[in-house]
Amino acid sequence: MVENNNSKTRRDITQFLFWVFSAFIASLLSGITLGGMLSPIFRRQKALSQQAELGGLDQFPDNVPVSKDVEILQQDGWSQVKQQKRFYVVKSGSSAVVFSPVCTHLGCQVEWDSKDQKFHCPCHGGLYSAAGQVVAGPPPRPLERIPAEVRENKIYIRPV
Amino acid sequence: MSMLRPIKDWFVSRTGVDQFWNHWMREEIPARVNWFYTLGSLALFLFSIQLLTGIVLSFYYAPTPQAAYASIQYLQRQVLFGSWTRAIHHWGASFMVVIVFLHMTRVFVYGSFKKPREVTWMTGIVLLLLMLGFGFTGYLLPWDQKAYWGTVVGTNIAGLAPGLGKYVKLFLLGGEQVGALTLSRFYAIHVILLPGLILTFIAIHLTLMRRHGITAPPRYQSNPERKEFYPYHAARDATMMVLILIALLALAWWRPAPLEAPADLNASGAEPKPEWYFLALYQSLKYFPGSLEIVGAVVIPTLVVLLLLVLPFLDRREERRLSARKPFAVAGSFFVLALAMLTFLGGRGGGMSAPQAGLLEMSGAYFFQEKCASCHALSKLENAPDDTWIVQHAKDKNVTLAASQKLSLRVGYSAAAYLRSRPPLALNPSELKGAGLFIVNACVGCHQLQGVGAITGPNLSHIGSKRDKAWLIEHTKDPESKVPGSKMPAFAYLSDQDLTALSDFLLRFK
Repeated sequence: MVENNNSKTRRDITQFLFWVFSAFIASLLSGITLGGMLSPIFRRQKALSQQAELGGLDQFPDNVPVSKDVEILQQDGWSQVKQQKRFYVVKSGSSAVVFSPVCTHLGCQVEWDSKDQKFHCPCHGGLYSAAGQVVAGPPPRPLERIPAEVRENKIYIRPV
Repeated sequence: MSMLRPIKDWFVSRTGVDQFWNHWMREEIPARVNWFYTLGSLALFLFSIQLLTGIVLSFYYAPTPQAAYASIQYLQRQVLFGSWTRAIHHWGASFMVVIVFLHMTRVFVYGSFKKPREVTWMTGIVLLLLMLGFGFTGYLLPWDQKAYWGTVVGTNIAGLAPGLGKYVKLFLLGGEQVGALTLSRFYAIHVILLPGLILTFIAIHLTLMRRHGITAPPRYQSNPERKEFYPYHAARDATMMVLILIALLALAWWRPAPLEAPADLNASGAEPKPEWYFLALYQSLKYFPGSLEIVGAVVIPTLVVLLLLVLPFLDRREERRLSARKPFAVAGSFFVLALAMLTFLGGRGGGMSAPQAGLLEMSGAYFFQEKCASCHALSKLENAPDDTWIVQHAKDKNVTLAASQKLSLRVGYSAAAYLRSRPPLALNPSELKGAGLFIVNACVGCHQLQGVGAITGPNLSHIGSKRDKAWLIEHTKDPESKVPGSKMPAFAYLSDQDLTALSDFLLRFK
């Protein structure tokens, strides 16, 4: 077939259209799919913030971390579930500090060892003092303090 | 035969299967290929086994935190070959890692990645990473202790990467923490996204392999002799496949895939250990504490992957013999040695506490030994029946043995807990008996121990550092003799042997 100028332009246009359409389809579809998959980066789910009572001040000894499990309503994806959550309470006089037992290194659950007076992380050997400060091991930060208040001799927290 | 001939001819002419067969099976390959050249086919074979068993598993698996664990228990107990299938999938993953590693070693030693096969090698590295991705995402799916805590640590490691880390972690978790959204994404990644990607890259890898042909071992490099893949080398492939299949099926038959206790978000003392092929990474974390963490967690692994990817451009001389590539031979051996060392050290788990068995598991071990072991061999109970069944069975008057008629609810539940997880127990027989007595005498009705039990009485979690043996025995016999006004009932009916066992057990809790 002989190609004249006219059909050459046609060829250019159809070629151009083929690639433009392809790019259009690819960008649209990948945009939608990636958007869905990456959604958690752009849309954070609001955490439920429920107040929880940890118990009366007089339950806790002075200056010794004591673990306390409370049930907390949490948003887990599409459902709200009651989860047992553990906290450590250190009472001193009429005030109290509440620690999260989540190791600041990689998130394992620390445990108070009354024998050597430290929080031990079972995973990579992190140690914290009774005040939550890092004593040894890889943790980069002290244990997280959960905002707590004392009302009518009871300890309340509002964990997120 | 002659009657079928027209049908065969018709089919061949319509589908072109003969060309397909000739393309893949009649390929001319160097005559001097050896048994090491079966490793690639073996990797592909193992992958297809993963694909098949994975399809069966997905028939029964439910990817939600409420259902995942139970669905796997169901698979193991109710589905024909269910436990076997899961074990094949579990061990098949490890087989694949080993075979892929050996395949890479073969390609490295023979210098087969050199020009013009650079891209074939690079797609191989991509396949390696995809395979590790399968391992990582599959680990969470059983939603047991190991799975949950391993993923908590693993995703936190990903979060350490500078800049993007935070987003990678959010992408993996589907939110701020490991939960329902994490499980459904890991499932989708494991059964849809990764299989799609890996099949694509396998296709590319194989197409490139055919495009450039197979390399002869270096010392036959100049030998022009060639022969067809089928049947000579195909028979070698088939032999190896049969051998590895038998090994895999046998291993899976005798060693079922582990299933620990269901994920417990409050389990302190849960020590997450990754699958053995991630142990090297896990171990290297320990050498970089504090702000240097990211070196071990992100920088070194990334560098290793980059180095592997660009290897064909570093080691680029045409000479393929390893003896002529000394620096690379040394670097390669060093790399393998380091990998082996780190894996070994990571597996030994130095510097960390041993996993602790819970109270129920400890007492369950005692009850099992006392009440069940006369009829049931532990090794034959590969899959623990569920708790309700055990309790029913324990109370069943039709079970002829007198022993089983005496089993109470508590005994049943703790035996079930033990059978489910079978933790290693560092208790002597007396202490084990003590654990049983602790449960059967309802001590947990008033006392807390290891987070189990009521809080009416004092918490016994550290009783061993407060009291001695004599005190505990006296106190249990007659509480008021030691603590005037004590509300605890006297356990005077316990024998001296029982009292000793009970205090031996309690003294473990320091």
